[in-house]
Amino acid sequence: MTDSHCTPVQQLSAHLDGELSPAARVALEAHLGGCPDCRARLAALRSVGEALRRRFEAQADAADFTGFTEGVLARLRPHRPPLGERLQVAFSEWRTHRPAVLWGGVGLAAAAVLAVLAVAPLVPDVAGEAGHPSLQAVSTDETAHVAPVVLKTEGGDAIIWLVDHPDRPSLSLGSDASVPDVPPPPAPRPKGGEL
Amino acid sequence: MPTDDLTLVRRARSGDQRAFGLLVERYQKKVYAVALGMVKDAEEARDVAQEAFVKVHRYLDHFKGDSSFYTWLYRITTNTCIDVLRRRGSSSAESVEYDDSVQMDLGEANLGALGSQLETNPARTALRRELGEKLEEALAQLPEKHRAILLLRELEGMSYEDLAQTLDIPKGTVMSRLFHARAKVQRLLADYLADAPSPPGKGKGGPGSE
Amino acid sequence: MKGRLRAPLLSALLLAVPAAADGRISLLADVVQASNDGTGVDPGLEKMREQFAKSGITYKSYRRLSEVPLQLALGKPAEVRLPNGKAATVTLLSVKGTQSQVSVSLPPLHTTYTLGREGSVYLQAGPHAGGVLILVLTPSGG
Repeated sequence: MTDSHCTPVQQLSAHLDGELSPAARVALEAHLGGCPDCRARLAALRSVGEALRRRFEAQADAADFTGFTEGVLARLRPHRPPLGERLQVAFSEWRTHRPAVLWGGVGLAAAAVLAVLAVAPLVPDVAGEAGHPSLQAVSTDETAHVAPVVLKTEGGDAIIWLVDHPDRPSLSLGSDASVPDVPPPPAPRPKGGEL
Repeated sequence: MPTDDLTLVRRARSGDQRAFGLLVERYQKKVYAVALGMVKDAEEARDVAQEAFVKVHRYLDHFKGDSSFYTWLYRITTNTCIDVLRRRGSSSAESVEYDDSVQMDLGEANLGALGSQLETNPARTALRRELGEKLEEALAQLPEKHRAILLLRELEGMSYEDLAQTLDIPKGTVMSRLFHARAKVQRLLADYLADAPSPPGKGKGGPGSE
Repeated sequence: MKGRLRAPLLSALLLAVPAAADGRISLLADVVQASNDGTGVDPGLEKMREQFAKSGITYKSYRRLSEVPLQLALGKPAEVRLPNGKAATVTLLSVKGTQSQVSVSLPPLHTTYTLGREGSVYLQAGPHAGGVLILVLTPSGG
């Protein structure tokens, strides 16, 4: 059995998608005006499409996306630790309390230096003790929207990590430079230990 | 914060997880809808949709911005769905190339009736519900590539141009693959509706064997 | 020298004083990839994993991607290339007796620190292949 209809269904399909050339479209519409058979075929094509849309869009609309984004974020291979949230909090605490303990014992370099101390076990500065490294300056490029976080390990090593910081202020510690507001921590992240 | 896709992508690439989260929220429902059409099961669709975003994040560095984020996202989504389907063992991918070039007997005899039934009885919810279910079954019998192109076109309204980019095929293939997918669905539907209460005719040409 | 990054051994090791009279020091630069892809921890990195975990950074897998000895001389920076396309520039700034000062530029991060006889500095170098790269600088005796 061959396709005995006047308009090839390929054309109807393309017409449905608005992908016919203007000339072809005009010709087809003229034809449809006088051909109930082709009109019905076009309507059938259209109804299937609409039924598909109704079916799946309705289900998608009805679906509950609570926790979806969090689920995605939890599955990411992170390049920032869950500590990130604690550290942003620590940063705003720093801003309020300005702890005097700084790295190195030697004054930090001026302007555009930012060091955030972790709330996590603060080991007292062991500058020069047993020859462990002691940091004098840590900074990040302003264009990068990240802030450095310095952690001292039990063994005396230094870890310099980077966390998001969209509005990276420049600080010179020890001065009264006013610091722009720290944005609130982002949506809850997986708790520590689960990355 | 400006919210166009490329800005969010750029920020996400430099490590801004909040920007990435916004991208997820923007597209989650649409990605889920396509995944649902592809894998059928709601829970699996949610998992696949999340997995697609995980991959987007992982490959953000590779997104060159030479295509739109939107088509790139759907490419990842479609491929992730196809991977899942293949792992399930329900692959019928081989048939697609054959179909794209062959003139098919469309058996349109019943379709006019279908069209007029729906046109004239839009409030016939029973018929609609049945159509919806039959449609899902018909869709599940399509080879994945036909399923994908039909879903992207019907659910997303993707232009042939975008479809070509998303599926990495020439525009001419878009046109023919889409038409074949539609024709197949219609033929399967016509079979179902003709057979009325009987289960899908597995003997008729074999589901997914075209 | 696999034991280099193990603290118990470190304290027992008598590392050579890094600063020499002729203004040169030796560092060992390791590029490590930390991720949650599996639980493989390369030999010598177990202590790193432990230290990181205690500090709140809990990756499961640590892989040493490369290890490069750096000979630093005053005024002659050394470069370490990383697989994510970044390059770290390490410069010896000063040497005073047993104290030497080094600066590291690993965009967007910059740091200056005084070298100890032992102990490492770990710098986060960005995401890579599903994990994160870390540049580890440790004084070496060589």
